[in-house]
Amino acid sequence: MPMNCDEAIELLPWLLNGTLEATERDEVRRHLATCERCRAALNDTRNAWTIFGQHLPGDALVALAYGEVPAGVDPAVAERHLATCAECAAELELARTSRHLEEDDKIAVFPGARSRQEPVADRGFRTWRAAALAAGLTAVVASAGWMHELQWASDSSRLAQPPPQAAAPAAPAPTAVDGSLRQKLEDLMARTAALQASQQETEKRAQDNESQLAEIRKQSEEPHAGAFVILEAPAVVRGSEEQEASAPKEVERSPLPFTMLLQAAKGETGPMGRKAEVLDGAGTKLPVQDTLAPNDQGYYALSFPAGFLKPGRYTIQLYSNENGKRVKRESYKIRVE
Amino acid sequence: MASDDREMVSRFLQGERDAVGTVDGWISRAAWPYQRRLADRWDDVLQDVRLEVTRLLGSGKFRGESSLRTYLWRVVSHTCLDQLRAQSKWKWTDLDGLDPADEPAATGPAIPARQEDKDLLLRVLDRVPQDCRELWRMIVAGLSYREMSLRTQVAEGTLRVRVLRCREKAVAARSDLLGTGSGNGRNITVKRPPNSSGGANADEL
Repeated sequence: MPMNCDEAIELLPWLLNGTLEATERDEVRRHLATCERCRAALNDTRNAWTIFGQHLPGDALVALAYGEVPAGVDPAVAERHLATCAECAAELELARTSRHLEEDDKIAVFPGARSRQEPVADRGFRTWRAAALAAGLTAVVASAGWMHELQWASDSSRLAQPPPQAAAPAAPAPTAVDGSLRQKLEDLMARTAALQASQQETEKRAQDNESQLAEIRKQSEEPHAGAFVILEAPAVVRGSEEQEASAPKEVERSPLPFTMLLQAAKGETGPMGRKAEVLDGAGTKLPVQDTLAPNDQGYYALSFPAGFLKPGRYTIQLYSNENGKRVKRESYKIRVE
Repeated sequence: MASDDREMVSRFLQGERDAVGTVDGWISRAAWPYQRRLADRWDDVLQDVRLEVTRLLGSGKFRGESSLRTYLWRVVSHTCLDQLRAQSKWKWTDLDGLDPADEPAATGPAIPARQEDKDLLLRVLDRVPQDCRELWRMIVAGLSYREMSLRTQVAEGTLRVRVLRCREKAVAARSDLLGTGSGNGRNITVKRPPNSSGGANADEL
């Protein structure tokens, strides 16, 4: 059955864009060859194609990108067209981007788009100069912040530490640069790296100190029952003399760390320290701090970890060093309950 | 013309290395945004731009109304946009024996083809509904009606009728603007787009 006019006319747009299947195309062509009305419709279709294929002229896009009113095009029409035509809007954006690049040399473009004939030295310097300016400004701003942090840190003697010497990262070598400017950049980068390392170290130390401080505060808030035990000065036993028997000091076992204040024997205090030795009831030597120094009141402070001393009898023996020879001095007896 | 630009043009035309490098750098920079769209043709287009710039500067077309660099930017933009459009333009198929020249006189005046008359075509297009523009852009882009049917989720028969109605609206709008009767004798009323400024186009015409 031959194609009628309505069918042929409906297919004309696709006859023009060449996407009809062969059988359809041949049928439409045969119909057109004999139908004057449909040939007129083909002409209208071509006109419609021209209308619908319209875009803003390149001149207009260039003018708009330059900020001018496009000549020969109604600005309102151009504006509406741009609002609905993605192609023209995209092309205008390209032209505007190109305009920005033309206006501002500081905007870097990929090397692939650069001219091979552009003098290398000039090109390299311009690119490097822009990068150096940006990097320099960043470094200065960052340095100011870090200097402030360091100033704060130096106010606290706990945190005062000399800045560590950090290796400066290697700056990218420009192809042709001004020597002094490059040196300044390298100096800035080195200082930046050093300050950054110092800042990190300071922050770490501050955190450690805060942790320790929190721990100390926590301990100071806890009860210290039995934390201090004062042992009276015993008779000093010299040489091989046997210590006279005495009743051991009763000490309550503490679940907390505690310190014994060992009163020095009368007339025996001085700048010289003592070596301490703690023996349990079986005569086994316990590991304790072995060097003690007397305080202003004539006490030696001997500290024990929590739960260190189990119930039982203990002997605390102090020694002095006299001419390289260990001499037995004060001896204390305790009984832990 | 600024003396710097005059000197640059002179040195460029004499082939001085620095001047050629500078001008070429400006050209490359201005053309850079178009590189991706032009893809494989990029090098050829860039070369065309260089030749065009050399021709224009050599024939004294640059009169110093703007800076040399801005002038070059305009030349680069024109050339690149033209190239972009040339590569994406889909021309209708030539129909042997059905060429318009062999046709009986078409109803209504022919569509103006001159550059300065593009404004008229844009005004016509401005009067056509947006959905019609979208449908016809697919046709101009080379889609088959089956592809369009899939893309728009509209039945093929319905789609073909819609496209026909859109074509009639466009021709009617053209006839309306040119002050002639409707192209195909149908009484098509073309409404102005809702966002168009009231009557501005008609007043100017």
